[in-house]
Amino acid sequence: MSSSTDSPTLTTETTQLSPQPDTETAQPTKKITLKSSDNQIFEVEEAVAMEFATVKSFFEDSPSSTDTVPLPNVTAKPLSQVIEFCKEQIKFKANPDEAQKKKYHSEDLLDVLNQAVADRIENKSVEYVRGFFGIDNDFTAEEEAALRQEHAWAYEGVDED
Amino acid sequence: MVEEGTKNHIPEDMVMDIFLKLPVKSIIRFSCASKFWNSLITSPIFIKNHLSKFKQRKQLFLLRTSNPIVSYSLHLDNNSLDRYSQLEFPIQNKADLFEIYGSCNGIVCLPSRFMLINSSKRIIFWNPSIRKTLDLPALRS
Repeated sequence: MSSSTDSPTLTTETTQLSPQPDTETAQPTKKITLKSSDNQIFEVEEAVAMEFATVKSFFEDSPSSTDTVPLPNVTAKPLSQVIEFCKEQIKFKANPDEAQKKKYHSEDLLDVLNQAVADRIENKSVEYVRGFFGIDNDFTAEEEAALRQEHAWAYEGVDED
Repeated sequence: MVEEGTKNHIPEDMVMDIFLKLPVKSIIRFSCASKFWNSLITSPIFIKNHLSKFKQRKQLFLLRTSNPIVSYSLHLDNNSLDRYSQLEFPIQNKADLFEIYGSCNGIVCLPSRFMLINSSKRIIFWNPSIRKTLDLPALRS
């Protein structure tokens, strides 16, 4: 079935965005400095840093910048884990045989995370998911009431927040 | 995405992937969360992807029983055909007047068992997942 691969995922996007890894290992690699929200400094290779969409767009906006890239959304602990994950990703991409074996490595990780979120919100109220995802309700009260009225059954049997 | 500013923002494609793992009831409920979510959930591409995901994961049988009251239920594809859910017939008190003709992609076609006064059959399309029906224009014999 091709349908499962049709759906856009974060993974495919990062794969398209990422630069080809250098095949010449002798070439000196540029380092990029990242700063977590709790002011920890991480020095990573450019190829690894470019796996982060935020970092990539930072350098697209200011290509010659040598500044530290601030990452205000993430603290040191998860950031270090994600950096390790990106390093592995690049190794897999550089070595197709190994990559083939681990083809679904990254999809698996994202899949687990998405399923965990889905399980958590499945029986929750609209108000709960608005808070959970940080989205604002831009419907008027009348529009929202009409939508709720149209599918009243979908609002029954919802968990307490 | 820029308009979201520094808000705790989850990318659109990731939201889509999470939605693809949710049952129809949850998705329909969340379609009133915001205009953006509503447009995601009601987009043809999302509906198509959600359908194909669930077809891969779970095949269900629709069963019509009459003993003597007619009822419709969904059953799992296992040895004992366990009941997955009981369905409420969309047209009140008319369940016995229809029979199943066939189904495709979760849409069931139900013709009326008897001719109407104009000697044609009433034919409805029923989508039990979203509890909606559509009446087909009357056929002329």
